[in-house]
Amino acid sequence: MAMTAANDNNPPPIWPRIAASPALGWGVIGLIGLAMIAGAAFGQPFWLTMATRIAVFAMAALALSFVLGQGGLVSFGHAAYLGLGAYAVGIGGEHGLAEITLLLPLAALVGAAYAALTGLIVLRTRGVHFIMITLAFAQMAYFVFTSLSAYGGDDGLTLWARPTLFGFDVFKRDIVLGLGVVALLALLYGLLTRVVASPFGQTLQATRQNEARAEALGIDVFRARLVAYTLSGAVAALAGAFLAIATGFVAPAYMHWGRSGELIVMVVLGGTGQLGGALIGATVLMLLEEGLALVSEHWKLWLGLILIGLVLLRIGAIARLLRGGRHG
Amino acid sequence: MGEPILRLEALDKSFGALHVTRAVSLDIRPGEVHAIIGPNGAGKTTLINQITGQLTPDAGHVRFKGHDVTGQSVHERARLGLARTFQITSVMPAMTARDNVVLAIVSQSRQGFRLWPDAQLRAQGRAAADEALATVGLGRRAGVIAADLAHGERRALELAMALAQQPALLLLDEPMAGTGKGETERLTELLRGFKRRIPMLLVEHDMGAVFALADRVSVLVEGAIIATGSPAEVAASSAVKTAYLGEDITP
Repeated sequence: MAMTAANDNNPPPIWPRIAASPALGWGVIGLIGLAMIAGAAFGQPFWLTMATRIAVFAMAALALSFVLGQGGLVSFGHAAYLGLGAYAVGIGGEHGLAEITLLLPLAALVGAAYAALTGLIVLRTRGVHFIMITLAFAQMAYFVFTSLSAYGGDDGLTLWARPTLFGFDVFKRDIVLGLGVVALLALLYGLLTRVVASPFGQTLQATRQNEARAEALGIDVFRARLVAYTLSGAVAALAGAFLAIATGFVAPAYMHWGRSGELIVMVVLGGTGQLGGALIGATVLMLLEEGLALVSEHWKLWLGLILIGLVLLRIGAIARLLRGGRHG
Repeated sequence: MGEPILRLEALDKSFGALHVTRAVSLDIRPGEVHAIIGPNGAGKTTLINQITGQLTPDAGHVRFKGHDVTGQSVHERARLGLARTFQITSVMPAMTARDNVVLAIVSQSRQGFRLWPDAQLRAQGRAAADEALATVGLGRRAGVIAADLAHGERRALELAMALAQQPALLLLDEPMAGTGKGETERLTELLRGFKRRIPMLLVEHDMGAVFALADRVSVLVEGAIIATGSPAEVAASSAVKTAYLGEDITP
């Protein structure tokens, strides 16, 4: 019935039936890890750098996919959490905090706190209003850090040393850092996949599919969304922390709205129905950007055309293609 | 007769100049099926929305199980045991019939915010869900995605979800709307099976169903209740006949 279908903003129920195939996501994580090891083994530092960047953005896309795909909340401000996580590491470093086992929880906490606080406001809105107000809060964070001259302001902040792990300087080697990012990505993907399968996962999906029915079943829809949004903010901030560590640099540009848009493209490209889609989308988009830039000066034009083509081919096409077109 | 399950005290609601609910008082006793009938535009939906909490009345009180719930949200009232079906069938379209009912059970038992899967809880939920589905005749359709169910089946599913909430009061908003004759009879029979066990507030156009199920009938016209009584009394009332402009409301 059109009435009920309209309440479900993910592609029609092809997805839920096959949602129990997290194997795709694990495959992507495995490939990213292999690319890093290959890069290190064959003396190709660029592969390693690229794979690390992909892992970082896959983590951020994973965070967005959790609220966007499962909760139906189209956040247009997730770059803010990326930036907040990065600044947690950058500012922590400025004050002599260089232990990753402290920096990561700090970043997650900052991300969760900003998500919980802004969530109290943004989650009272719906649809286009939600998109605009998440964007507004992200831009707010962007401008705050632009004017924060004590920490580099517009120019950003350079991290002079990489953090330590229990006092050991292991992340000096790029491969260790890269595999560290992949390990955390795997852990977070495993955790979030479990959460999606948990009672809360069902509750969250229910709030997306039919809000009125969810309320009538006794579900506090606002609270469910707030929990999901906070969790997502924490995960995105973890990605931001690693972005700062990997690049050795933090700048307000991390929070730019264009980056938020990029994260949405990643999630939509890979398919919103399951978390693994975000990992695929992030990988494909970043490889496309990199590959097209090698071929043409006007790579952004080509990227745009390819994205339009993919959207016309129906959202989630990549994942279906990979699955052998069973449902294509 | 005991304390009423639901008591509406002088509810009043206006939208601008439109006075949609006028001093409506009504109660539902334990075990009673109370029907509300009235012509289109009488304010039945607005009244229901004030009972469920989607709308807050301008004046008056809603008491449910002895609590004043006038200021409470929809989900708070639902947790107290107010279950409902919607005029336009409302289920989770992308979930299976079984998962829809499990959702109702899990939410009712306040386990819906657990962040980790629990195999035992899930097995219990599924067993209870299958039982509820069997009760409404959907035993063999448990694994079907709700969007793929026939209209009548989705109606039955919605009822199974409401029953799984172990309701203290079941609010049925035109359950027979859009169903065929055979389906209406089947649903009526099904609901009759829950009489005495579950108090119901039934808003319905189908007079056959109303007369078959209701212990008392209240007639809502232009936002006000003009008569309350047994189905026979209401059918005989001249005020009701006038309000319905000569329509014959006997089944």
